[in-house]
Amino acid sequence: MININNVSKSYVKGKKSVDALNLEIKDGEIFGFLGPNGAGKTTTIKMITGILNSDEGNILIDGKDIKKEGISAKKNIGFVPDTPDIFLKLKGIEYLNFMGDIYEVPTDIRKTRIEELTKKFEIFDNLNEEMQSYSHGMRQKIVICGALLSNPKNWILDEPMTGLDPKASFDLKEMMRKHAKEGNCVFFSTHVLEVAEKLCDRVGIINKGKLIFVGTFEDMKAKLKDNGSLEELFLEITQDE
Amino acid sequence: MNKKIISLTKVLLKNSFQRYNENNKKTSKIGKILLYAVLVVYLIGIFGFLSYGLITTLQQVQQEAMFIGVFLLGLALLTIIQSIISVTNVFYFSKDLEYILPLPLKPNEILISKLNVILVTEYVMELLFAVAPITAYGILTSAGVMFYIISLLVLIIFPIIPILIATFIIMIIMSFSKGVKNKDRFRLIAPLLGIILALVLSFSLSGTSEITDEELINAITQANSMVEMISDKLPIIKPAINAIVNSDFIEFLKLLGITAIIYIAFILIGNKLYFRGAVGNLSSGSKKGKNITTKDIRNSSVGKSYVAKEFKMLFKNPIFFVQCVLPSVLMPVVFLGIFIVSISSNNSQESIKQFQNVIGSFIETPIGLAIVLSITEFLTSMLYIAPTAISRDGQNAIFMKYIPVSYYKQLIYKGIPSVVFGTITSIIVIGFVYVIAAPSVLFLLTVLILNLVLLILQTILMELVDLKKPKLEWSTEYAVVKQNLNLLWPFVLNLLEIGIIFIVTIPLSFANYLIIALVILVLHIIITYFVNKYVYKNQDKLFDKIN
Repeated sequence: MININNVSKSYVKGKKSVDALNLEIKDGEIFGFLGPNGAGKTTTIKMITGILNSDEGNILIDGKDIKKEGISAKKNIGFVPDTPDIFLKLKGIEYLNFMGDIYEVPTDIRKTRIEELTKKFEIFDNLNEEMQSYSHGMRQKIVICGALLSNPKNWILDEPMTGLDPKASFDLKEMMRKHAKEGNCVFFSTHVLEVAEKLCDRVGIINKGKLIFVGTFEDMKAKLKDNGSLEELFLEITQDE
Repeated sequence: MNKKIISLTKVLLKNSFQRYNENNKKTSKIGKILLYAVLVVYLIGIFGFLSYGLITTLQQVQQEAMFIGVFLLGLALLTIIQSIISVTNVFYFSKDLEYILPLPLKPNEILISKLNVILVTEYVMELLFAVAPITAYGILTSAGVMFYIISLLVLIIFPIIPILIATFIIMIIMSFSKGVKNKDRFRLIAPLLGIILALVLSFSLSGTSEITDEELINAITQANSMVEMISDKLPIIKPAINAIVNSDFIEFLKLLGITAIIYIAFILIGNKLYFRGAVGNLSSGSKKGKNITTKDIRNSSVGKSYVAKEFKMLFKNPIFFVQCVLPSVLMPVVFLGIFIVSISSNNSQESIKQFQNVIGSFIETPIGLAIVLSITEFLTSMLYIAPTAISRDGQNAIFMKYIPVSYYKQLIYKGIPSVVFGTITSIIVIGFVYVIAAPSVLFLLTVLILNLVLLILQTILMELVDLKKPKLEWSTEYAVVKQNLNLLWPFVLNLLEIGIIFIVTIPLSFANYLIIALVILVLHIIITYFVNKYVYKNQDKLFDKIN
């Protein structure tokens, strides 16, 4: 479970990038985080994962404050950043072993998980190659495998579908559903509204640092005047602000 | 120079020069400029001071002109060695070629722009290393305005040919890269081969005019003959010396003429040679590996795994390895190797023994210890692992923030390669000390332990420098190590360290060297303890800039 309580962050004095954000992502839920470019999505994700410190408020991961009990809170997070170009000089298997060591995944579980995840994403045969030779999509896949290796309770994914082929994208969505069904929590940001609609139990829309909507897609449609397309709904909500 | 070349040069330079963290608006720009101005002035001051000492000594035997000769030869060699490393990076390793090649640019426009980047870097180096010696010479010989004007002109033209020599050597080596399977390893070896080739060339050139003792005496008695001897080696040295020493504009024109001819010839040949090697270089590391087996999936402790990753990232990235590790390991081998070879080849067995006895009786004294420590300090100031520990990760540095490992521990893991390679440098120096002075094992052990303690402190402090101003937004690895002002700090810190060692040593120089060693040891353990405590307490704050 992720609790975001009254969190604010500003990079420049007097201009809040995230303004008094309150959110609760329950266990067993897939939560989609939407918003135009520069709305504060990545800033929020960075604060949840401990990359950025919030100026005000607190964030709890399964009840643990990310600022005060960072190490134990981070153990329960599997994070996929928006750019997958990470440690490209390492071989795929070296990267996964490294992630396994950092998150202290026992060898037998590690073996099963690596095989399971990389075969699902069809990169098992490429594990002995340096990641710099991977395509963008393959890099995205290996980073996802690394993040999910320790089977963390809370998945936080920043634009996870970018660069994935249709099959990998489908598989990832399936994995997200399964993970949530097992009583875990999935929080992800996306620009693709259709993905959010089909996958998410709830969505949150952020614009200019403020959370302007939280609820299901049905709530969103009901709140607005006419039953337009998803894009129209989105534009209407973000333009009203 | 056409507009395209100028704008491409500008872009390449901007791309590689340090961009400060946008979020860091608290410290004023003036403060930053002032800080670096102090650093630069400090370094210039040291070179000025050294030049002053050398020129006044030479003036006593009316050989001050020799200073300019030695200075220019040193500058040429330094430029060649530095350019070999820069050229491999700027011409062959930087990612920008992938974006530049599809643009409607002529090959020679790209070539000239890239040469310009190297030239600008060398001008920055000249600012640090050349301004003070020339000014010191001018003042001490009460030279007129013409001297300064001509010197400035010479310094502008002078580095071009050494750069072209370095570029040519690397181009020849890289043109063989097409057929090589492991490109990364080849990239790592190329600059090494280049430096060896440059050294072999300069030795074979100097071999013909080897200086014996007799010649040396003659040389000192005959005015200017030393300068003549040096000038044989490079066609530009003689006109450059004459231009500066005699403020002779005609000689400068000669230098300009030679440079222009070689430059044009180079552009004509370089065009073909460069693109043959560079295009072959674009596709790297695409070889297909074997499938993994269960043995490949293995467990390690967090610390071991983290440190192993740090070593792999250094070894597997040729730019980082060549720039951050190699100088401090290679320099002692080159310098000390040359020294040993020259002693043993020019002297009889007996005189070597005598030499060893003299040094041996002196080495196990406080001053002897201080000198050995200073040599290692100087050499490890070229070790750039710690001051780039964070910056080398670039945008991946945020990884440090979201994994469940404390920042303090990560800093320690990141520092270990620096301490390991610094210790290798220290062992090379110790080996050298053993060969020339054969001191007791206790002495050698003392040096090793002291070096280790100094290295640990140096590593933590340099990591703090990097944390204070990390350079995370880069598109080419070259930018992290080449145009990074943070890398002035190891020099400053180690010079300061040498100062401290001597301040402690001189008043106690009558005592046993072990007492000095103990004082240095205790002093550094105390400082390290407090610095470490500071890092541990402030780890969250120190990592603020990484986001």
